[in-house]
Amino acid sequence: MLLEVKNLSVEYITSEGRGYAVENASFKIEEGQIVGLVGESSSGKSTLGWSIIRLLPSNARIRSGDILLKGRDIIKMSERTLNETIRGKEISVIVQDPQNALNPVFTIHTQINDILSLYRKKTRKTKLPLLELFRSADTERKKEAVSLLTKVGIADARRRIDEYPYCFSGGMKQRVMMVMAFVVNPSLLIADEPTTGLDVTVEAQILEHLKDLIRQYGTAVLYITHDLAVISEVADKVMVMYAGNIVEIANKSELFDSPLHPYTKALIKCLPRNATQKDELETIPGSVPNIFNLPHGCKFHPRCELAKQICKGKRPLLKRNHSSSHEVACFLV
Amino acid sequence: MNAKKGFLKRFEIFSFVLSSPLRCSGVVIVVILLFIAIFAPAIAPHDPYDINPVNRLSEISFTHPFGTDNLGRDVLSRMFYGTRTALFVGMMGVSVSLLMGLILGMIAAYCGSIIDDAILLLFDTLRSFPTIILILVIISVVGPSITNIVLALAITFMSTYGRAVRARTLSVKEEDYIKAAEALGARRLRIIRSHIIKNVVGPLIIMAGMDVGYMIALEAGLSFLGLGVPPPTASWGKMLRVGFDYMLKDPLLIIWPSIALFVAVAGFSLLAEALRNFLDPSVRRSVKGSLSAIRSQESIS
Repeated sequence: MLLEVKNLSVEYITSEGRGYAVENASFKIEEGQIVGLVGESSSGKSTLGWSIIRLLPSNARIRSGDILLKGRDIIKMSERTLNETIRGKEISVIVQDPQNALNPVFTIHTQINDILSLYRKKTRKTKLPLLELFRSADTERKKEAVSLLTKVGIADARRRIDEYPYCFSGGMKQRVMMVMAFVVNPSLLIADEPTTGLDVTVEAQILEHLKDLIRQYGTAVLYITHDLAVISEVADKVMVMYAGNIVEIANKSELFDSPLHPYTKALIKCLPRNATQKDELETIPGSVPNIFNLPHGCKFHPRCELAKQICKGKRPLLKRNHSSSHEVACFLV
Repeated sequence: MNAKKGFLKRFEIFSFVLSSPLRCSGVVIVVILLFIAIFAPAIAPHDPYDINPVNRLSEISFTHPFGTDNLGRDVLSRMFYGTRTALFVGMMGVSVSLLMGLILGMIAAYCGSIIDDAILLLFDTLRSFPTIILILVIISVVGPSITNIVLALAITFMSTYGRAVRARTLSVKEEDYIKAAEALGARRLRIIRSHIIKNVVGPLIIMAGMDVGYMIALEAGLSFLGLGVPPPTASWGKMLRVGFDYMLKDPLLIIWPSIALFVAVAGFSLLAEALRNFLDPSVRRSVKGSLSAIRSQESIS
């Protein structure tokens, strides 16, 4: 077991009031497993992702729960231990918007080199004079960086590595981010909507490279996205999130073939491939409730076609159903 | 091929500067001023403090190319030494105020709440005084000396930099690349040192270049009022003051330091303008030769 999250609740404190962005979330990620986390905007999926490395906005508080990474509780760690042993070591992150993910005042080489020199302390030949030693380590690292960039599909990487981020397109920046995330050889990668804002062809290429890298490094991934189609491409296991609750967890095939939660069913029905050409696309009526003003009972019941009296009064908890791996939070299954 | 391109890139600033006479002149003036300031003892024909009452208010001559002042001191030598004072005050003043603004602005942006409010209140209070009045107040309290002038100028100018730094830090620290650095386990101090400062200081460099000239003019004004560097230190402002008393008899005595002042202030403004154009990629790319001259003339006027 790589990561185990138990009853995690994260509260936001704003001028509008207090509300739980993540409520009682429990899930597990095995070594090397790719877990997709889907949900609409403001369903709390990014908050859940970032709370795993405890980098939340200053008005967010982790109210309860445990986050166990290889048995060590991240919630109880000091900021210092987190920086030294978790962030960028065990867990790395690919952020949402590639356009702003690289510092504009440093060259790509400087930024990759920074990470390479920190995490790949090479065994050096001690016989060389001191200056020579640094130079060789430097050129060696540059070669490594160039080969990594080439591997993720950046053409002419030898030349482009000395350019500044503004010379790179969004897709290329995201490729650089991918290299930087994997170079530290993390055991868990949190990918927060890494392909949002890229066009579909670039998205497909990036996903291909991402899958290659995941396979090569054997990294476990928490893949956050709102796009079920992308999830069906990459994930082994899928978690569906709604207004701060994880409402369904299942293996990919099981989730797509026999979804249990009405919300998941509705989401899958909304995928374009299920509509014939003359039909309008399916939608779910209504929108995600504001976390500061949640409905009583099941959070989904105002939008749920099947809602019964019990759904209005009580909040359903995630429970095992059918097989041991399929969990769902609904009274009606 | 790679190395060659890097080489060309490094010298891009030179070709850019040379592409317009106006831009060129700014750089040339500042370089000459720096040269004079550094080598003043070597190139000055006389000791600037050597009083010679017999030879007072002498005409232009071969031994005294710019004549002598009311105490018989060589004007040219005093102007060379005055360059030292002017550049020291201008550059130190800007550096110290930039540093103070940087530190206070960053503290304000990072600490927030009460500390932020307190620092902003300090900035606003400082800015609500007219520049010259505030400087006069500070100098009258602490007494005129070259360090006090630098300090007074620095305190006066600090609030402008501080506010700019604070605003920029607030926006930069929310950028995704800072978040990414945090996610990689970089400590806060490291993030500030290597990521934020570089992003914050860049735009301020142009402001600083402009302010060097402004501070030189202010120092001359203070010296003229008798609140500048204490005698006998040479300063253009004080030379103006001396020349003022003998204006009708020997007008050259005020013309020389005025020219020096004008050239220095113009030089630093032109340099700052060239820098601004160089750092603005849209101007840099469109400029080829004459077009650039028109453009920079427009923006100066």
